[in-house]
Amino acid sequence: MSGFSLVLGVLVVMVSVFLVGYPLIKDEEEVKSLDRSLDYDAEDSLEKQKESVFITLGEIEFDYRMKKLSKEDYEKLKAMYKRQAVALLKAEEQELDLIDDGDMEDLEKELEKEIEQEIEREVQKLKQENKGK
Amino acid sequence: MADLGYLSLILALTISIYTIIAFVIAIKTGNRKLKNSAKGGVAAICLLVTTASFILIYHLVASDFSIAYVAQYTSTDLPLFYKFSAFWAGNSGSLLLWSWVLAIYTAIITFSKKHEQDGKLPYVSAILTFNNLFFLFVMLFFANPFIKSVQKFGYVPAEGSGLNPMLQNPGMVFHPLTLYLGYVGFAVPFAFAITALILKKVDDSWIKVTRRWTVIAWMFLSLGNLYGAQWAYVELGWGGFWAWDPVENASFIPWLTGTAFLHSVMIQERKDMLKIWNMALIIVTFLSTIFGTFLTRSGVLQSVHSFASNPGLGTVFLIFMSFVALVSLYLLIDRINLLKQGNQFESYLSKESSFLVNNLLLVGAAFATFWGTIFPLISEAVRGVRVTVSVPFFNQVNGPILLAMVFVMGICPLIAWQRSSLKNLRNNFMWPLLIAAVIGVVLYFYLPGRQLYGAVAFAVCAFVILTIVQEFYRGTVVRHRMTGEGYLTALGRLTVRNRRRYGGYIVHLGIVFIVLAVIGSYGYKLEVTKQVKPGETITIGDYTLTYNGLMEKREGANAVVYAEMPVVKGGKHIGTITPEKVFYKNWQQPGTEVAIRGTLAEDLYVILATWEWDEKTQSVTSATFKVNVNPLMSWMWIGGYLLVLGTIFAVWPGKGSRLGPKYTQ
Repeated sequence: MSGFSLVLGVLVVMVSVFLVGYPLIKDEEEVKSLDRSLDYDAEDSLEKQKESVFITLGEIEFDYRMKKLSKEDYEKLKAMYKRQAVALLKAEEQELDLIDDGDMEDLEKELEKEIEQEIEREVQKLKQENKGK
Repeated sequence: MADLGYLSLILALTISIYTIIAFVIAIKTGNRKLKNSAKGGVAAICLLVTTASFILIYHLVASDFSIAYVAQYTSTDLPLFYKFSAFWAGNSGSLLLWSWVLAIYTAIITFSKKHEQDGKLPYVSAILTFNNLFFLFVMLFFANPFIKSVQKFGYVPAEGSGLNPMLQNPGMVFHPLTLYLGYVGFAVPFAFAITALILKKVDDSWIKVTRRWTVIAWMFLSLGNLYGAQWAYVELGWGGFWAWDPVENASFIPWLTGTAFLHSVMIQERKDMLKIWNMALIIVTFLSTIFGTFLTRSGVLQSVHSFASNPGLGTVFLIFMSFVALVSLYLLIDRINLLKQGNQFESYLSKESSFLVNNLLLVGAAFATFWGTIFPLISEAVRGVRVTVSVPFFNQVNGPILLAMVFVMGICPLIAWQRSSLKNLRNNFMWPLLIAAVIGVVLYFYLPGRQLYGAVAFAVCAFVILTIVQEFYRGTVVRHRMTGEGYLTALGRLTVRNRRRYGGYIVHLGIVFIVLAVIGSYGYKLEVTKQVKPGETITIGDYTLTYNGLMEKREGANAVVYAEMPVVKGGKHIGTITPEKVFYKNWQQPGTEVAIRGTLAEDLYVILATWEWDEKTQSVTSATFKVNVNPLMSWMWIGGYLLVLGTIFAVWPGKGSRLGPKYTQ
């Protein structure tokens, strides 16, 4: 083995041993800050579920306008996902403890309205963005 | 330096064993220090295998024939580019490449910020490291790339044997590399799938995490197959690009099951369905990648693409495949009740139903290919006679299946998720179907031979192209109406903001172009083999080639015999074509350099097959040429580029490539 090989060999072995061994002698606290958990739960958050329902609503809307869905199916699916969106928004509100059980029905209507407005706002925003260019 | 390479591999094997044990203990005990040490082990394996790979490359480039592998696959006069590519020209080098790619992939996954806090990580890394442990074991005990010439041959050769001339082609440089990137890439979704089974978390989170890996692995596998086809077309000189050779089939099977997986995971992601199917598909895909490499190395089947056979190596691969299959099957059966949970199909007329049909067709084609490939072995085992399954079987079985698959590819985009109605189908299909039918009828009467099958196949391709165009058009119009954007802006934003969907359509378009080339070149190929004397002509289709005698020249150390043949098409001189036969200094068999004059419509493909030598006059009296006209061949390569473009577009990071909607019941 040449001198260069020997130096390279020693270096490679040392780095490998360091990579494997150093975490074993590293201070526990420091390790913890790098890796908080082995049991991280990757369940979808409420936020992700909400986003997913909105994307689904968007796709249903687009598919209907592209004539891939009949009016009947479109309305049925839209109503179903709107209900899901409402339920998710309610769950979110409940998480924030902002809700009184007695106001549930009012809130439901309000949220449905909010969803319609949100869709309308998105469309308007796109139109305005375009006019501005 | 070779000793250091060998030492690196031994150390990598040792650390692999430690890493797997450390991950397992860390999982059991929750010991974070041990988990981080195991992660360090993954980095160390990557470093060590990288070191070994660079050392082998160094010896190849330096033409150090004291290393047997270098002496076997290179020579001093080999261009640098091919010295480098000799890294994966032989059995042991290609195993090192496999291990290297796997080590890099494992390190990327292990140190990805995205997985930092994911409880699945130790399992995934341990599975991938176990996979690499196998390859390191095989290299060290069966195919050591650093074995010395003295040990292997008993002496150090003054000159190397050189690289097989057939491998001295850019297609063959990229073919194994892209194929391995694809093969190894499928190990990632497999590791996540097995982890999901172990942890009993069989929701779609493993699919979401591995989507990009799967798509990119699929892209490389597609490219690998295409480069292989291109190499066969320009280098092997038999006039075609795909011969259903066992090794070709071995890389086609994972492509088929991988394609099925790529589509069926969308159903799980969006509809929480087909969980068992998806698990089975990724297990089969992973196993078939190992099966592919087993076939090329074991010598159980003869192939022009095989490495020198090594039965011992074949046995080890067989044991590994059986082990993986058994463990996977056990987990799959044990978790079957969990996997059964989820939604059901609501309508036969829905995108998910069409995806399922597409899946069944792809898996059917994969099974037919697998069956045809291993049938010689089965027949030998059962009846003692090796019955060869040749090209017609594969064409007759797979042709209709794959054509049906292309047809479904046209239907899928036009149907909505969850449910659709006949009226909507009519709305979307009427025009593409009508125009495609007209195209089919016109082509049936216009093209030579009045081939019904060919005309139907072209009509199906036209249908798919039209549905894709219609998708872009209608999408643009809808966006224009909704937003008031100009048509071009609407088209741009529509595609960029829905990259998964429209990237997919671009890939589909690429596939259709490839299919067009397959139909054209298989169904409408013209072929002439003719012995000619100087001054005589060969006529094929509209082409007339004149033979003016053979000439000889030297290219480096090689002697080249060639014919310069003026080509006339429709009475007009369009150029000269020069087929060659190359006699190599370091290789006994002469190589055929095919002359190709390609246009978008067709390739004029000329092979100098042989010649007659007259001893009396000491001259060539006549030469035999094989001339083909291969219609639409260029579209195969154009389709390949489009496929890559569409894949990159679909997986490009950003909002438009994020995960899609989720449908429930």
